[in-house]
Amino acid sequence: MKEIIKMIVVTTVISAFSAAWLGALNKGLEKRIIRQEDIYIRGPAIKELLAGAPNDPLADRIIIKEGDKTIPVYPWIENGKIKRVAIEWAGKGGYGGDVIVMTAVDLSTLKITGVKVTQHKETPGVGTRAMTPSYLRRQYKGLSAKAEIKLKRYGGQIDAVSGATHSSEAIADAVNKATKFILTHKKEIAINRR
Amino acid sequence: MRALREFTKGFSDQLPPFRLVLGLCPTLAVTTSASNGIGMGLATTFVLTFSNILVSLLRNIIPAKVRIACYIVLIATFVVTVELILKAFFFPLYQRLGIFVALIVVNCIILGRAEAFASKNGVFYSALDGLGIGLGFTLSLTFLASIRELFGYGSIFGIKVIGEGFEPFSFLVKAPGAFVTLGILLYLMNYFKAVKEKGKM
Repeated sequence: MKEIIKMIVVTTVISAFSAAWLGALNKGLEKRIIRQEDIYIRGPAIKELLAGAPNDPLADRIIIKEGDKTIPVYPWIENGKIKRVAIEWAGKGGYGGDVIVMTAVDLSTLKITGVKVTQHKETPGVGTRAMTPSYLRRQYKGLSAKAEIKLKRYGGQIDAVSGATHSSEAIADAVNKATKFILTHKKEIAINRR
Repeated sequence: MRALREFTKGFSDQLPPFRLVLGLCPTLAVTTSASNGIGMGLATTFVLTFSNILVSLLRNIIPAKVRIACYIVLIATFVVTVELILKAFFFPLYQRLGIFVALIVVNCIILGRAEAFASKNGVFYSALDGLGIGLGFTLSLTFLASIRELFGYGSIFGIKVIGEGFEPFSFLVKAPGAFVTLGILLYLMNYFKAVKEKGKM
């Protein structure tokens, strides 16, 4: 009995210390990691999706609060007006967890102008086939942001890549939530512009 | 000099991928370029050294029956630490090593050293053992990666060393190339070892 108690206590204490250390480290490095992701992931993705913007969408980001979450919106500002916005959202249902997707929407036509996967843990060569620029362009470009974006098997309009259904689904989920967010917060985005 | 011996054994008779033939997953997977090899090697060295130190410190506290579970927790903690540090300070390297960093947790060299050495020896020797084996692993990975990069891309550390006329064997930087290169290296090492031992007799 004494032995069992010792085993439980030692394992628990070690795990607790590990968890505390990692939590503290994560908190301490969080800001730096976000900055690095801006430089290496979000920056290039925004540059691609909002190519031709006269401003720097990354620097001009607008922070929208929804509940206790803060969500950055990256605007294309031309002549003092926001023409397009890009927004990053995590799509649920991926094979290896969330698929993070950047979606760009034109605010005057309310159509999707581009979609790009920024972070994922899908299988290389399998799930990644649902992330190729040509597939994303074919499926998403020009879709109305007002429509519910779903895979065809759920009555939507998006073709899933066969063998990469989970990845396709996660991307559709992310785009759907991103467009919904932009539609609900359209006014707020315009007001909050610095 | 026991200290020196514990440190240098990682370079000679216990060279991880070639002599112990342990830790082959990263050896085969990330050695597509010399800089990947060195990055992965150093990350592993860091985890190995610190996990050896902690396992050695806690060796009289951890009950034998749950030791593997405790070791895995310690190792995983250091791996996530490395992952966060890479993310915060060496992001491009993190992007390339990607999932392989997380795989250090189950790298058999690390658990192997914890079980075979650190759980039976003092902190000082365990640290040296971890550092030596880790650096040996780094050297091996860099060497293997350099060969594959040299013949596969015609460059080393991203610098072109073979002229334009050279047609690279791009096969070598693909997955099967890792097995072929490692196989040839193992053959050569065993062959020379056998020749040396024969000479002694």
